[in-house]
Amino acid sequence: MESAKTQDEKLQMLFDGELAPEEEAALRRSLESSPEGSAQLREWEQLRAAMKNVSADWAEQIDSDALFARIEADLSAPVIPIDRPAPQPALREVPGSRERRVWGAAAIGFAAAAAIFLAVIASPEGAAPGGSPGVARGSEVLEVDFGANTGTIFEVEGGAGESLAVVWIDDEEVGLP
Amino acid sequence: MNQPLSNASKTKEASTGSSKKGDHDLVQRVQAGDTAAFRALFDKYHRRAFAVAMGVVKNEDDALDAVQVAFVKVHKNIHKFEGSSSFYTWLYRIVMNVSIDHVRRTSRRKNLDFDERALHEESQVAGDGALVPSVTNANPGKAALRRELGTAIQAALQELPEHHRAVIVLREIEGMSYEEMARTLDVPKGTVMSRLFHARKKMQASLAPYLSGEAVSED
Repeated sequence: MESAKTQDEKLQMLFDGELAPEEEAALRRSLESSPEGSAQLREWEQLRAAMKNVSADWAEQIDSDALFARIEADLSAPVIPIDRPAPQPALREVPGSRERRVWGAAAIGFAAAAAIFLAVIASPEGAAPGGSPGVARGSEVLEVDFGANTGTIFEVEGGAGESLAVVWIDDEEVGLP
Repeated sequence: MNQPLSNASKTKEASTGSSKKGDHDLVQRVQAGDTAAFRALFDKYHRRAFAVAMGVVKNEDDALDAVQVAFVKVHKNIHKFEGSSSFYTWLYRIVMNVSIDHVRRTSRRKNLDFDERALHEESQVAGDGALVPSVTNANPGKAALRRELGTAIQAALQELPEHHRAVIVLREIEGMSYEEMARTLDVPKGTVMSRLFHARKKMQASLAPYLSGEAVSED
């Protein structure tokens, strides 16, 4: 004997035209002696008819041209460019001093810093013995143009007690979604 | 036993299948930048898309917004449509997703509004009865009855969970097969059948005053 669930499923499949022809024929024969099944089908039919009629009324309400005009307006609305090339961060050169840009891709922390610039604020007498070749000596940072980026300038003490200016450049562009 | 019911379903599927080729051609033309072809797709499907959206959202304005957003998405993403599924399945998936998103946003906003109101006002229950007017108080005129029925159906749909609402709308309004619904909603066919059964049961209960008498279409 079939479970109630299977009977319900088959009845619904019959109603929705989803049964194979031989299954459909067999179920229709069995329904001749099942007033409950027939009543269920009638209620589903009424529900379907009601929903069809109402949805037809809904569809008649539309002003098609007005709706299409809204869509066209939406499609032709100016788009804010998001792929514009971001200005590169740059230092302003100070005449008479030496300046060197050091780029390093550093993905640190959640904000993901993109580059770190180190410059040494030190006496202009020359490089310290054993100094890192990537660090310029004798430069003075007067101004940093962060371009479309944001950043921070701070000072730390180097290994030889010298003063190091750290320019931290974030890689998150300002104003983009 | 009502013989034409299942046949109607098959006829619908056959006619849908015959239009697939036409849709495919139109889609290719839209992909090539043909705006007239986009208008042709819009003309062909926007009323049905609107009816589907009306079954999910709460009112006409929201449904129009949903259809607008859906067609804009279609236009912007049509280059990604490769034709492995039928266009209308793709379109209705977008319409359904946009409509459900809209309902969720509105629902969240409504809950906030309600919370705010509750701080200042007494609760009001008198409006509940107005959602499904009693048949005995209904205007006997056909147009009025259909309007009333429309309101009642929409109210009954709103009481369904989203996933139940989606299947019954796609089946009863759009006439999709189980397979098409499964593809559109991205769920197994068995899930579609189960949800449809429960959705019908709830709709029957909500609309009992309307469904227990003679057929509603021929009064």
